[in-house]
Amino acid sequence: MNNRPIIVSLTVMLLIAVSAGVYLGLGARPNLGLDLQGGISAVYTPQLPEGQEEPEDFDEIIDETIAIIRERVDSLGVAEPEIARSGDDVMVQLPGIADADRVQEIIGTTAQLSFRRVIEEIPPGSQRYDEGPDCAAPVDEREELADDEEGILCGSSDDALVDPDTGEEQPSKFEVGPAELTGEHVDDAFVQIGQGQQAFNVGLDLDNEGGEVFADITADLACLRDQGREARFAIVLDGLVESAPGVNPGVACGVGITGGSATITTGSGLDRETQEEEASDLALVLRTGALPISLEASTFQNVSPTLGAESLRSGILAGLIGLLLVAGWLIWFYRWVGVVAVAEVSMYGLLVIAGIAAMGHVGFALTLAGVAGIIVSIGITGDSAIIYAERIRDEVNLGKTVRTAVRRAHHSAWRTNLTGNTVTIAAATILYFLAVGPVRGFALMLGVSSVLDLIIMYFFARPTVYLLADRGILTRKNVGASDPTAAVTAGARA
Amino acid sequence: MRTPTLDFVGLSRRWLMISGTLIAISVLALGVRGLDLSIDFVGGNSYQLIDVREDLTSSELRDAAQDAGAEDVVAQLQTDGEITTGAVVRTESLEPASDTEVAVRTAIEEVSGAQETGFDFVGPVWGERITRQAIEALIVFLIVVVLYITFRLEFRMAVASIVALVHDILITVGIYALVGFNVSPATVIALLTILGYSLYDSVIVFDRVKENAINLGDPGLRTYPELVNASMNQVVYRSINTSITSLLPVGALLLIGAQVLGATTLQDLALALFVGMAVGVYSSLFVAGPLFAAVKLRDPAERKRLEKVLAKGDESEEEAPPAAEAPAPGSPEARAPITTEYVRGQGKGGKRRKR
Repeated sequence: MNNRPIIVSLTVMLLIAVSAGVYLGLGARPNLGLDLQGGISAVYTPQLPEGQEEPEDFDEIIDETIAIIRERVDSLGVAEPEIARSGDDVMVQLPGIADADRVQEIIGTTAQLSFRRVIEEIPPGSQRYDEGPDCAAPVDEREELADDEEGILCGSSDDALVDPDTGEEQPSKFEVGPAELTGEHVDDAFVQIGQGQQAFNVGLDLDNEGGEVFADITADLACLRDQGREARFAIVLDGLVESAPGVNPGVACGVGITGGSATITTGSGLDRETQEEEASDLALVLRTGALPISLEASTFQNVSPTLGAESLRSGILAGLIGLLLVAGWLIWFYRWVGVVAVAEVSMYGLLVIAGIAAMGHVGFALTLAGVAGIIVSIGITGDSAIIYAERIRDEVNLGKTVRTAVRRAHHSAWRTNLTGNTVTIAAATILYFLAVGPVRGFALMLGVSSVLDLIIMYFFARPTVYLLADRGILTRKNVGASDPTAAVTAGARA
Repeated sequence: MRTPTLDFVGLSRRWLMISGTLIAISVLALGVRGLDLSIDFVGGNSYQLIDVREDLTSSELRDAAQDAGAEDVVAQLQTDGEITTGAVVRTESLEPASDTEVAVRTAIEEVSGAQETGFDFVGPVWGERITRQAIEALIVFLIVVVLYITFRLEFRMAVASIVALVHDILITVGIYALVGFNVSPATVIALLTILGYSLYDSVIVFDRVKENAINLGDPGLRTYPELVNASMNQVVYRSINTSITSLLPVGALLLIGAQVLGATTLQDLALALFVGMAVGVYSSLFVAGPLFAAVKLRDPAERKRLEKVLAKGDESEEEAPPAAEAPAPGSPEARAPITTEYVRGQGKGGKRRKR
């Protein structure tokens, strides 16, 4: 019989197992979810201001809101914050943070839009740059500027310079006047196709009151411009100056931009694509400011690090004890085939942990539910070994030689296993896509385990058992077949 | 070890009575006592206090929380042997970092002297959403499974599998209602796993039935009930061993989980799995198979075959007695005449199968 393919597949599987072992031996460890390492995990659901209807671009506005939250959280300096969107919900994962009140304040506060006059721009490196807020400090520790105050604000970090010494981002600062117009007066903002050099602009529509205020501001600014002084207004969202456009030469001093709509040109001198991007970014900032969404906590979980560590420890302990018990049972019941089964289960354990550690690089974290999924899957892997062992015995009982029996048995056991695992994989896939939170982590582990089970059975258990049978290590007796003489006796009785 | 010769199908009535009683008790318990749903489904706050004062009492905690403004308070102490080490306080849904919530948290931290506090908040709407999503997932899953089993095996098998599954879930949920265990998302996960297991078990029995169906009419496999019974006997060791290897790790999880403070997720999960898998072992053997045999007999051809064998059985007791009476089909006694020669002949039957 040609043994080559089975030896090749066995060697490849063993190599994979060894490299998984080495990978873990070199210190690779799975990323731990919050329930295992402690921290805050929350789901926020966006709430529209009362009486407002969901606008068409609700989707984009949520994204922009998330971007604002991300910026706020980033300023906290949390090690690996994760802020992701799932449907309309915002999932926030903050490892190693325990101050729930602070997190709640940072995330739950609504971003406000205001228009303020620019008194002076303070670029990094200039003398006055040390004044005003520290742009690298956490958002909630920066001084806030009330609507009626004038003071210094940080610019958006989008176009910040990087300090060559510290590597810190240094956005421009702006000294600004009090807020003259707030987001509630903005009716709409949209990208317009412009003329000539300027391919894209932002169109701004204000309500009646906003239009009047806007005309006043621009009338004043036009005069300042004529006098050659600073004549810009700052668009401030969530305490950051997002943009500071000036007034066109076409706007007359004392008249301003009337009619409640204006055009803001962005990114002049840039290529078309960047222009479009800048314009749509600014339009989104304005629309988000016009519709201040507040994020309301749907679930909020604060896991103490002690509890997390304890859960992890007990999960590992339970897994190991389970593994040992299963191993003992399988070897006692199935002898040599049981030894192969134990090797299968151990290989599963090794591959699944190495696999999770590898998936950590793409942001996958092991949660408590995942740990449970793995422990449950020990049973699944044990099962495929049991089906095979039982089949071998059946075939030998039918009078086949062990060598033939292991091959026939594999054929039918594989089919059975494939059917069973397909059901499990289907269940896991459906759960993964339809469920939220912990159920997802569990479903993923269950699915991965089922696939691993099939791989191990085909490429590891099969060749190993074939080889054992060919070498004569597996015999009629130690696969647990009934004594042929017993059958004869039974026959004689009939 | 020889293939056992248990009569699963013949004693259908007995299994039906046992299952019927269990389901009736479950439904009753569910109706009367209902389920103790965790805050994840109904909304609420839950605080885990770690390393509390040893002489803390739950009424102290409850009073502290109520004085601070919580209305609906449940306080439980956790003990490690005789010593009180932790506590869990549940209240109605209070927005995190709101005035009342902070007051409640501070009050129970102070009165308990806890070193660390973990807390969960679940908004009232969220629970409904989770529950709805779980139900949607379940329905989609069942449809897919029915289609798959129908395509891969047979429609009647799909029906029998689903009935066994509903049976398992009903009884597990019934036990939860009866004992008053808390139902958490971990419990739901466990239920979903049980569902997977239950189907997996049924699929394995039916897969064997289908494989053996080619030999329908052979000695010992004269009628469909006999065929099903013989197939079940062939997989009975597998069923029992699989259940043992599945229950061992879960049992370890249950034992270890119980030792750990507040690691309620693990415990909830292990408990539901343990109960469900135990029910699952029973149902895969005593519900799915016999039920399928019964459903299959609705097929006129199979009924005719059974009647023919029954009529023959009346003439000579020796040959293939009806399934309901011992000795069981598939037993060496019923599978006349078995010698080594004959068994070897069966081995050659492989050729015949291909015909």
